[in-house]
Amino acid sequence: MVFSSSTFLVVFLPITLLAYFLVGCFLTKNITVKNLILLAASLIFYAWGEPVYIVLMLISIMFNYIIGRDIALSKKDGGKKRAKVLFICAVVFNLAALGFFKYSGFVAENLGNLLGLQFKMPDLPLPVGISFYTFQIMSYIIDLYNGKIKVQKSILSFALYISLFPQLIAGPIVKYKDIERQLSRRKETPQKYAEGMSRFVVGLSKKLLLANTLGSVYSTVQATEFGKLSALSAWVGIVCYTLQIYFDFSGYSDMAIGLGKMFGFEFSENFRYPYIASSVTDFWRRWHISLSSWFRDYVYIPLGGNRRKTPRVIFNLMIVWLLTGLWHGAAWNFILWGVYYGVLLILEKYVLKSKLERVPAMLRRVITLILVMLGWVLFSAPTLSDALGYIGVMFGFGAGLFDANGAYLLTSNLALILIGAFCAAPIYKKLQKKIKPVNLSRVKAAAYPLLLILCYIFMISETYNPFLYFRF
Amino acid sequence: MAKKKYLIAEILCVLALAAFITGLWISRSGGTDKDIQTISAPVIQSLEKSGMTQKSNSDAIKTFGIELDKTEGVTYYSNDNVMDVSELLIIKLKDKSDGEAFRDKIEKHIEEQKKLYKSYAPKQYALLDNSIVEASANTVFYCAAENAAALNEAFKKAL
Repeated sequence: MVFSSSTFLVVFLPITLLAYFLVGCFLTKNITVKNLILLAASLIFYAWGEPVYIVLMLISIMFNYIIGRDIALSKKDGGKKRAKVLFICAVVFNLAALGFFKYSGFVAENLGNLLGLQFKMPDLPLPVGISFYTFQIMSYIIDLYNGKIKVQKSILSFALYISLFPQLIAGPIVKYKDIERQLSRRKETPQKYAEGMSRFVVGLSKKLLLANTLGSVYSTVQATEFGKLSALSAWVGIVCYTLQIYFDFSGYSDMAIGLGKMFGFEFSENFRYPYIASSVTDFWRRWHISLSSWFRDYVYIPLGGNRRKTPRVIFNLMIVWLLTGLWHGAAWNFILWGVYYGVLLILEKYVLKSKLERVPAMLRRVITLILVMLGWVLFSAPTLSDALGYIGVMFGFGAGLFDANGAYLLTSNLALILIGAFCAAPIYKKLQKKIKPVNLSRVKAAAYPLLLILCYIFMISETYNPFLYFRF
Repeated sequence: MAKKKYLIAEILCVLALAAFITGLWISRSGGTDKDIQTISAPVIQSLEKSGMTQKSNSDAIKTFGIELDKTEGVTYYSNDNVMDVSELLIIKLKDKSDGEAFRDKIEKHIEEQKKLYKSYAPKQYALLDNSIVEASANTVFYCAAENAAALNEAFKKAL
């Protein structure tokens, strides 16, 4: 089930809210009942699309809950060796499940090509959200083994942590230590509910009003033969995709954070205006924060982080970015996309740092944005040759620099691009500070229901349009 | 004692995962027992407003070059408007080893269509580019339509 579907908005969400607040908050006021309602709702939510994979998730929950308790018990009894073996088993189990469903086809295909053999793998659909919930489970297991958190003794709370529907299928990746207390103690207030609802509407609007509209522009550009595509058209296309992926993914995160808030949870922010970043390093502090912080905490730092000699730090960075690329998908373009960022970050850190500091801030931002857009070409192209061909067109190796089609594409979508740019930058926040004396609360109160109605109109007139990050 | 219980439970979970994967693998590679009408019915229901109409088996042979004697049944829908590439093809095979050959024929058809529509009808090209072709066990599914993903979901549920 997706948030931007009428099944979710008209049936699932109202019923879940009603059950949660009526039974959980007013009748029983019991956290166990609240968690039980949320868990049941989350399992129904997950089972909606591909019911068979609920079994995989339940096995995963059971295994990690038990092994977590076993690790804690072994550590308590002084069985360090046993705890270590159990920890390795847990990591292998989780990575094996993820690896089988996500990467086995890719590995078999490439190994087959290399050896001149054909390995037959079943054509299994990827379990939705497996990359997200596996990383959540791993955060629990790793922190538990390292003694950073206490073992979760309630299977209900543990199952809820893994399956909580707002962030289950496309993040943000919530670390166990960040939500531990909220699983047993959280407060729902009318203020939080209103904030959550508004945040949800903002996210829904980003997805339905902006991301989908911008996406159709990029699809049109992508469908044109490279020889007939001008540099202007290619740039308009990639600018639209750059905005689309931001509104699509940050929209989902807004909805997840908003829904969480409605039920009393506080999730960490996943985006902080990434397109105003003044360097690639800064961009990754602002984009998909939950993923980059996961890799920092559980891969980069354990490998030694910055505290090693330069060659080792470079190696660590490349490992992290190779894995980041691979996390996004089992395809060479994602791996190359990860390596591209690894190389850029290393160059920024060791070669260009002092030079970049002398460049004016605005120019640094423009350079970063162009590098990010080039990255999105690698990310979005169906094949590597398509990506290289598209980059070639962007620099004039297609149908020249300008043409009538490009001019039409730009003028007909200029308003959309400007609205997108306005919403992707903190302009509104800055304006709000400047015009503080004017009370905007009434305008806001009217704007949210209006946006919701507009979203609903877009939703029923559009065809099935899943979130871009669902496939990860 | 508790450690022993945990260990047994952990082993059971690993066995459950192995059984789940094996079961899923077999079920997806063994194929479906349902007939073509049963598999196609929920997909056809989702075709409303798509403008696609049912075509004959000979139309499917002409369009895709498929061998009818190798199938247990074919469902073929396409749009009467020549400027619309929307198509739905569901095939139930007699022998699941023919799946790849049928898939190749469909992919060849898509490539030919792409050459025709590229640069002239970007929206139609995008439909072809986002079309879904799946040869799994004893069935083959092909769909080029705006709601191809939803139709594919309906097909999978029907298997």
